[in-house]
Amino acid sequence: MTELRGLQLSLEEFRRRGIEVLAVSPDSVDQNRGVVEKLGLDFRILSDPDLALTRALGLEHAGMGPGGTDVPRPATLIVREGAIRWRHLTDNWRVRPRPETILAALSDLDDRAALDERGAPAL
Amino acid sequence: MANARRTHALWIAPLTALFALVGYFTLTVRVQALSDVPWLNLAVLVATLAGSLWALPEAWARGGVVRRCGAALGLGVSSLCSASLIYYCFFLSYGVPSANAALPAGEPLPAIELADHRAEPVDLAQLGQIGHGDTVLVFYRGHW
Repeated sequence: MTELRGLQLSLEEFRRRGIEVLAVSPDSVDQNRGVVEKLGLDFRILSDPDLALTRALGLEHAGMGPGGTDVPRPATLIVREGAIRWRHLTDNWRVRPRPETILAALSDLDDRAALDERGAPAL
Repeated sequence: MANARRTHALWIAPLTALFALVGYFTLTVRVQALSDVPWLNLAVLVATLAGSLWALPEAWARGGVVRRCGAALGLGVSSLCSASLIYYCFFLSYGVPSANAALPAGEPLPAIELADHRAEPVDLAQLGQIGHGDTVLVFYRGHW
C-alpha cells in the first residue's frame, strides 16, 4: 500500500493536470473504505473481489494472496479515451512506479498526441 | 571496558538484526526511497553481523558454555536476518508473472462495473473517455 501513500502525496499534481487516480484492490468495499480512511486518501479504491477486471486485463498473480488465493500483480495503467495507453508491470513486486514516473509517462503521451495532431515531421 | 562492550554486543547485535528485518516490513517499507532498495536495513544488518563477529572471540576465550552458545546463537540470528532480507528483496520478490500475460497498450478497457469504497458503481469502459480526462489505474494486492 506504499504506492497509495505516494499517490496521495502527488495527488495535487495529478489533479492539476486533470488526471483521475483510481486504485483497484481485491478487497471488499468495506475494507477499501477502511484503507481510504486510515491513509486519508482523496482518491477512490475500486473493489474487484472476484478479479473480474484484473483477469480481463491479464493482471492476476495466481496463488500469491492469503491462503493461496489469486491477487492482482502490482500494475499501473494510464487510460486515455477508453484504452490503455501506458502500462507499468514491475518485475519485482516490491518495487512500484513512483508518481514522478507516471507523471513523466503522461507528459510523454501528451507530447506524442501533439505530434500526431501536427502530422509527422518531415524527414 | 572493551570486554563489557563486547558482552553487550552479544545480545544487542542479534536484537538489532531482528529489528532491522521486521522493521523493513513494518516501517521502512512506507518510504519508497528506503523500500525500493533496502540500503538502510541492509546497512544495519551488516553492522549487526560485524557486532556479532566482534563479540565472538571474547565470549569464546573467556565465557563458559552458556556464553559461547549465546555468542554462536547471536551470530546465527544476525546472519539469518541478513540472509532473509537479501533473499526476499533480491530473489523472492522477482517472482512475478511474465508481462506477456497482460493486455498491451492500445487495448480498450472491458465494460466491467466495480464498486468504489463508497459502494458507488464505476463503469471501467467509461474511464478516460473524451471529456473524462486521463485516468491512472493502480492495481495492488490488497490491504494485508
